[in-house]
Parts: sequence; C-alpha cells; structure tokens
Amino acid sequence: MRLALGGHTCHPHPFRGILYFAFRKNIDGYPLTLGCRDMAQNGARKYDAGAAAFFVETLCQDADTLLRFGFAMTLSEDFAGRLVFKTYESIVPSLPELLNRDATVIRLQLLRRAWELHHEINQEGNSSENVLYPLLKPLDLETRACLFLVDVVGLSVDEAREITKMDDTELRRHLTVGRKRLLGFRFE
Amino acid sequence: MAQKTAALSDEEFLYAYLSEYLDEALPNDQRKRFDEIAKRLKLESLTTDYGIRRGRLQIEAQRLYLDEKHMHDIHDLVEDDAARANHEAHDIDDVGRSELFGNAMRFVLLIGFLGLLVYGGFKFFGPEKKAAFKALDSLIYEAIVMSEDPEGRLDFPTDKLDELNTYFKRVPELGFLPKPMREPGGDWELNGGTVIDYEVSKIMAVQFTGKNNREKLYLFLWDGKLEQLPKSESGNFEGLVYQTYASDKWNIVAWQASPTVTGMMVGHRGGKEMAELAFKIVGL
Repeated sequence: MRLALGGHTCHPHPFRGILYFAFRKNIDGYPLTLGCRDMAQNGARKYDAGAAAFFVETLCQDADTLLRFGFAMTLSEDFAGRLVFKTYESIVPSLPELLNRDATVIRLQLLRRAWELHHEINQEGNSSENVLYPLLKPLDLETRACLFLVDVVGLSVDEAREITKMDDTELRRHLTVGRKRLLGFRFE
Repeated sequence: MAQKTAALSDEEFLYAYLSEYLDEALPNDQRKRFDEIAKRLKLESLTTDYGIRRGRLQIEAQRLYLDEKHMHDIHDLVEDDAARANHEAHDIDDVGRSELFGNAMRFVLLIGFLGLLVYGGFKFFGPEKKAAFKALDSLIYEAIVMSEDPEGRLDFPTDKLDELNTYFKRVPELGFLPKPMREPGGDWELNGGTVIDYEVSKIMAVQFTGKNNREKLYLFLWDGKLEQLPKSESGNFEGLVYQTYASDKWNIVAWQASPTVTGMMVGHRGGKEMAELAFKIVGL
C-alpha cells in the first residue's frame, strides 16, 4: 500500500510556546512527567519517556483501525492516511487526560475525532485499485461509516451511535443498506 | 429496544440486527421475531451469508495498514528521533542493568546452593564430629586416679625437670610444643610426667609431690581454649588470669597458657597459691 501524508513531514508541537503544567503519573511502571520542565531541559524532546510510551503503545495501537475507518469515509488510502495523522495530531493535546483512560474509551475517542475531522476536511478520493472501493463507492458516507464501525471495527450499535451521533433507527437503517450492499457484492 | 425499532420495517429489522443475532446478543423475543421474519421472507440463509461476507469484508479491510514511515510520522508527534534514541538507549541500559543484576543474583544463588550442597554433603557423609573434651571432669578424674597410683601412672618417671621437658618435646602427638617448665621451688618435688591419650585431645600431665606431707599436685596442659570450660570465679596473679573450680577434695585453677594451650593445676592448695605455682612453673 502506498500512503502519502503530503506536507506533514514537519509537525509543530502542540505545546510549543505554551506554559504547560507539569504532572506526574504512573502507568505500567512508567513515571510520567509531561510539561515545560522536560521541554526546557531538552528542546528536541516533547514528552518524557512514559508519556511517549503511552502514546506509542496504547494510542497508536488503533492507528490501523483508524486508517480502515478513514478509508470507509474518504474512499482514498491517501486521504485516510492523512486523516489518521490529523486525528493523532488533534488528540495529542488531550494526552494528559487520556493517561488514565481505558483502551476502549480511547479507541472510541479516536474514532469520534476522526469522524469529526472528516466532516471538517470533507475530502473524498477514489482509490479504485482497492478491492473495497467498488463495494463502498455506491454507498453514502453515513452508511459506509456505520457499516465499518459495526461490521469491521466491531463496535456495538450504541458505541457507533456515540461516534456518529445518529439515533438508533437511523443508524440501523444505514446498517441495513450497507449490509444489503455487502451481501449483494461479489469480491474479485 | 422495541421503541427504538418501531420505525424499522421487518426487512430492515432483519438486516439491522444481523450482527446481534449472529453474536447471540438478541433477547429471546427479538430472536423469535428475527426467525419468524427470516422464514416469512425466505431469508433463512441470510445469517450464514452475512457471516461469510462480513468475514471477507474484515479480511479485505485488514489489508489496509499504516507503513513504518507513516507510523514514524505519528510517533514523531510526541518524541523525535533523538529523544526516541535516548529513550531506547535508556531502556537498553535498564535491561542491561537488570540482566547484570539477574546474573549476579543467579551466581550468588548458585554459589550459595553449591556451598549448601558441600556443607550438607560434609555433614552427612563427612567424619563424625568428635565429642567435646570435658576437661574439668576428665582431669579431676585423672588427678584422683594418679594420686591413687602415683608411680604406676607415669610413663616418664623422673625428678629432673630438664629430662621431662625433653621428653614432652619428643611427643608430637601432643599437638602443641610445650614451653619448658621451670622448678616450682619450695616444698615440691617432681615425680615425672605422662601423656594422657583422649580421643579428642592429648593431655600433657605432670605430677609433683609435697616433700613433707606427700601432698599431690598435678599440672595438665592441652591444646584447647579456656572458653571451653564453664565460666567461673576468676583471679589474676601477676598477669596470669585464671578461673577457679573445686570438687569435694580438690581445688582447680585453669588459665590460657598460650593462645592455643590451656593449663590446669589440680591440687589441695588454695586457688591463688596454685595460680602462683602455675606462674612459677609455666609462666605467662
């Protein structure tokens, strides 16, 4: 697969220039200290080892899930990759609040953020070489999202509703349409 | 749930609840309704078909994943390469330290185990430990026996102290080199000496007799420590620190004649007088 993030090779740090409070936490044996003290000591370092490890080992575990959901929304591998990056970039300022959260809650938050960002960016592509593209192309955005959240990511309908803010009937109607399409589709 | 699904048609209900039906998460009444609708619409194979297609969809979706480059860009949001290298170096150091400590602990445990094994083996298979030499009881008994048979118990009867000193020097079994004895002076004459052979220790024994009253005085020296004797009243005669004991007929003084040799004087005189005699004969 080929993904391009375009102009995102250099990422401004969200806390740069902000007097950020220092806090200390201990998760899985990591002493976490995040804030201006570390950054002041080492300009190149943005977070201490514990916070960085938490980000990489917990939050980034959902990167592929986000990519798949992103593809369902954007119909483009490139845009999906970009959306994943944007999602993490926008969630990083919330890292201190996420440290105590359960992995399931974090996953839902990431998916919700991706959903919101897609509506802000509103880009749709055409990765026609992808096997899933012809399956998804005829479906509208909400149907594709519902189908992926429930049938690919494995969320319950209630969890999917938390992300999409749809009511139960609306979401299930989208599921109905998506599943009919899935059952009528012949994978090449 | 009934309220939520009120607006769904039967067909919509069927498709909308497929995953819950397959996962057996539907309440009984909903499940019953599902089966009835599926039968009525002749869609009994719908759940099986859906299971297969959903599996295929998931497999195809799994072909989408972020490559190293894109993961690196995401990781870079929280730490750049230099910081990551520092963290990794620190982690490697921690692992190295942990391994070193683990190895050291294993080594110590192994040595400890081997030591325990050797000690256990020695205790179990090694030579039986000799019984402790009960000097006080044994030598009082010897004094009594020697006094009852003054001549018969002496291996080397002599009245010359030089001869006796030479004799004891030629007895290697003693386990120590006795210092040359000096004349006690006064009313005492030398009768001779002998080596008493106990299994645990060899005892150098010397017999003196009072010139006027035939009173007996015995000097014993052996390889041992004064601490092996019971604690008792102590005294000091010009630097000779002694402990005194008494039986019904005999008085005893014992002292550390040299760092490894214990001396004992057994007689009928008082403790201080016998300590003085010991000082004259053996010295410090």
